[in-house]
Amino acid sequence: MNVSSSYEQLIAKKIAAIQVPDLQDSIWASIEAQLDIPLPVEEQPAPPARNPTGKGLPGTAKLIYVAIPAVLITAAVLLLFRNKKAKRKQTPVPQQLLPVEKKQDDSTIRMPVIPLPQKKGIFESQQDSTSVIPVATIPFTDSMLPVQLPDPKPDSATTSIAAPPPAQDTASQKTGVKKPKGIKGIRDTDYKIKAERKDSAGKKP
Amino acid sequence: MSVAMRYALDEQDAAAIVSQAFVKMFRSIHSYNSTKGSCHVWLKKILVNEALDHIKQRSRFSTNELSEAEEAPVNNDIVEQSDAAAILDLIRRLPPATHAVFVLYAIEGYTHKEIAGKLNISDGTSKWHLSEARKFLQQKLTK
Repeated sequence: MNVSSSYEQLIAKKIAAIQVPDLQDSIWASIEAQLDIPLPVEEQPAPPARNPTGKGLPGTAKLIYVAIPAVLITAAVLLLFRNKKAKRKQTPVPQQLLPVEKKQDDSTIRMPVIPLPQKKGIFESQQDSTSVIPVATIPFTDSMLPVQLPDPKPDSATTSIAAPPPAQDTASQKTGVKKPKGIKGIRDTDYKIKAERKDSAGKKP
Repeated sequence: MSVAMRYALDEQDAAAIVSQAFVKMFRSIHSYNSTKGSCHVWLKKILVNEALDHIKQRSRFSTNELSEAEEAPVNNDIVEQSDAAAILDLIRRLPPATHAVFVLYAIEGYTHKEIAGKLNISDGTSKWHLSEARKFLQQKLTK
């Protein structure tokens, strides 16, 4: 609380009564001069782009923050799918016992698929009395099978010209002189190992 | 101008304070709110703040807490007999901070709390400055 003493009040009255010097012109001139001076323009940083909603991040920043994770997630999902597909292609088909039946007359090889017995091993199955020889094979695809093209029909225009021989699979054909195999003096029969039959079917009671 | 004269050291200083205050007023006229007070009050506030800035430029205000000194009584008759110009001259001879506190308290009617807020000092420091001013005036006026 302001408790000014009486002499202070007297001083205040006396000072308020002091005549002001006539300096109006000089004061106005000074004011005019100061107002004529252009204010230094403060370079304010450009305001950030406003979010239309007015909340949170500005529009472009929000878009970036949303778009980048979305792109990353989709890329990751695509990669996972690709990897899965690749694995599916690479995973070998469970080994199957295929009885090899070759029919010389037929142009294609038909291989009936017999599923591998679950509990029995390969050696156990060899001891079976069945005549099927278990062979672990990779499934044949169409590209692996030899394709036998039909013989070209003789065209009337080309009858006089000798028609080229039909295309033949060189891999399956035996051409030229057969090279002697192995070391001289050792016959093919020497390589063969004859397994003694332990099959119960062969035993006579 | 009379308000500026209380804070200024001389007439030229007072004129500078007034011109600066008017320039500030013209430049910040857009911030004037008539609901908060009249234009005259607003201008006086700007003028006082400008005068205090002038005083602050003259010396640094001590932010240390100063103990309040005992008040020295002054005879009213002496003050009444004294010339106004002479009293004002005595006030101008006070140290800047003491000068500001005395004018704000004794002439403008501010409280110590308000003075402390304006000058960024404590209430006790404001009281100390007032006490110092009174002692000085009492010494000079009684001589």
